[in-house]
Amino acid sequence: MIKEKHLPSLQGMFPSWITSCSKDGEPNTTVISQIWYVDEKHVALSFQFFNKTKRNISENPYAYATISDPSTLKQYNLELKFDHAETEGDLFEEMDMKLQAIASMTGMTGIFKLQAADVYEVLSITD
Amino acid sequence: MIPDLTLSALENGFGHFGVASNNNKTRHVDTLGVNVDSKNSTLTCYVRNDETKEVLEFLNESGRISFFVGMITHEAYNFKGQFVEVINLSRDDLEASNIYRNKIIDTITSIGMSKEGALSKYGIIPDIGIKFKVDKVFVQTPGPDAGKEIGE
Repeated sequence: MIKEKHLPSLQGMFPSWITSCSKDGEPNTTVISQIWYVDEKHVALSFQFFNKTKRNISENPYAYATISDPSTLKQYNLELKFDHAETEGDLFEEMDMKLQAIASMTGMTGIFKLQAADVYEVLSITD
Repeated sequence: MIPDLTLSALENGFGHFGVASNNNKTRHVDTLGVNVDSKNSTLTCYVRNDETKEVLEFLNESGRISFFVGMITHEAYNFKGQFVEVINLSRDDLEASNIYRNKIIDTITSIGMSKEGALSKYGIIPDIGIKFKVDKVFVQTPGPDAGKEIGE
């Protein structure tokens, strides 16, 4: 599902965006700093705040995301389904470390705090 | 309903226009500029028709919209509202889009991204506008206040 050509888009060089939906049918579109590669069928999103996306996903596990190749800005659209959350382990530690680095570079130290690595199944990817 | 403090982000920020279907699946599309009608609390987002097939299908089902605008400073807002209509773009709309897209191309290149990449995305001319009536506006700047409704 996730191929070599998609990997540059999953390194956080250019923001990604995601649209989720509440159980009542209210969409929510927002930007996220990075969608993380987990394996060829899964990606992860950082859970930092109990925000609208997190609330929506707890009600309705489906989401739609766009990632961009930083060298060409070519976009790929991903249909996602929430799978599980991880609060420890290699994936969590890697995401936490990168998040702290981003926070430091953007003057947001203390604001970004990783609570979980939310792992999603990739249902489809389209150009 | 469209707060003045959001106008700079609407004029200069990256816009992403999201919708949901009747079975709560979602789609979104990048916008290529926006017309603000504060008097009537409407926004008209400029997009490419060939990039919005599913967005328009979903809009015709539920009509609910989430429009995110965010600037490179991280200042961001989310406009929630109800679909009104799809319009053909006037000369003024196209000129407004042209000004907006040039600013976005400058922004992208200023952070070290390639001009070719920026032009591939923002060098294209929109051909339709999706108008919606704004009923809620939320702060979306990262941090504890993200999600707070403006005017609440």
